[in-house]
Amino acid sequence: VPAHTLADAAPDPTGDEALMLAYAAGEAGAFDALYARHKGGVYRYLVRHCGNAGTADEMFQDVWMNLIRARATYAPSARFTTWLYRIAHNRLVDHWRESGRVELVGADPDDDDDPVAALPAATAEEPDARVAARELGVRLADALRRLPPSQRDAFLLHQEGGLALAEIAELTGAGVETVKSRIRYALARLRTDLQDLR
Amino acid sequence: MNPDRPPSDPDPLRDPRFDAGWQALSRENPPPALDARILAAAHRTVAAGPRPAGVREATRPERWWWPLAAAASIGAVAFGILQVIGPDRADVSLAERAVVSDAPVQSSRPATPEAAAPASAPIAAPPPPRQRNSRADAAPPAPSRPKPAPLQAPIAPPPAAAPEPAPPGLARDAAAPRETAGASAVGGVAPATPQATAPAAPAAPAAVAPAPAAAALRAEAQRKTNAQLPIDEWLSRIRKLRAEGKTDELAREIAAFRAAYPNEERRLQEELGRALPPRE
Repeated sequence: VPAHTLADAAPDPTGDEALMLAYAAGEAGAFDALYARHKGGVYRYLVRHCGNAGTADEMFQDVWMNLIRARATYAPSARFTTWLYRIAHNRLVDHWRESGRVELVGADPDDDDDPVAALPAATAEEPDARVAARELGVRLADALRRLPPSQRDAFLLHQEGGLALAEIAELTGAGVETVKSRIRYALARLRTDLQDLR
Repeated sequence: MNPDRPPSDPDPLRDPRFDAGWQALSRENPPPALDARILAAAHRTVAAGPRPAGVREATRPERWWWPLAAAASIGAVAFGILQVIGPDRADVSLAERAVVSDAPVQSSRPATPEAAAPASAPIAAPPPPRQRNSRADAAPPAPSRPKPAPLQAPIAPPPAAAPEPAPPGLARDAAAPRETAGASAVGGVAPATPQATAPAAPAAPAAVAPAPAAAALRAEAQRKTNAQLPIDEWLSRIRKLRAEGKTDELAREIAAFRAAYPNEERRLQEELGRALPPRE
């Protein structure tokens, strides 16, 4: 169930959709509010995927510039957050295609043979002193980086973007059940990776 | 985790333990320089970029005067051209057009018989063509109006000396009378008297008259001219018309002959025989 629906957000003058429409009409201050509201989530979505701050900065700027250029064509037929993360997702796919890495869509390993249960306990072999020294966030970020791209993408869109399953499914071109499965597999692998912290 | 998302979401796909981890990572934000760059681009685009379609519509009423301004500009240019050319040039161009064009041109001046008379009179010496272009020619003063041909007979040479006029009623174009008068002048048959010079001016109106009216005027003028011909010469002309099969002109010529020489019906009968139409 989506946390926010379009019908609920439309009458709200401070809602994302109203702000985006105001910006499209020439009100620059609306963009400031939108940017302040969503810059962190988008940035972390990108930096968790690529793991490189420089690359994430470049993609982050491209995402917002694409949004600025496309402002005139924006129509509140869907949530603004969905539109924003679609732009970010597409930019990420472009980046991975350019770098020759695996694609987000299509290479979906989440089937019954997915070796989630057979994953080695990555942190189990690490010294306790080192585990203790690392912050929780760093462990989590590392665990995310080891996730399959499709699972990481679904997980981050759900966790950082706050998108519903249906929105993620529409954005990534996968089915709702597939998205749900990806998120569950991602959670399972993260728990496995971070089980020593329990 | 998204810190802007409402808390306490009972999402089965979330793990509260990871939420705490996301809280620790949520301080990760883009560099301030990147923020400033993006915000500046957003503001710059709004200030200088093209406006959306809905906003552009609002500027349309500001341009309602464009067609009006274009029309005013065209009017000003046309007025300036008229000022440069002047009314004299306009009249000249009209006269020139009447001379060179065979098409019937509608003229505001009526084609009166007086206007056609000088062209038909072989004694009338038209002014040089250069003078026809003057404004005085286009609008001749009243005293210099051409007189009817019979009144000029005393100063005219004998009819035998006159050049052979074109057959009357010949369906020629409107410029034909002018050509006849011009040929007379070139031949030097008639002296260029003031009376003979002035009547040439109305030739232009006659030339611009419609073709049927010009033909009628020409026939009338020819009739007046034939009244001065000797009987033998006139009969010779009638015989020639008959030989050429110009029945319409022949009928007019016979009528004119009968009017001029009512007592010479016998000569006419001898000339035409059974082809002579009955007298009206």
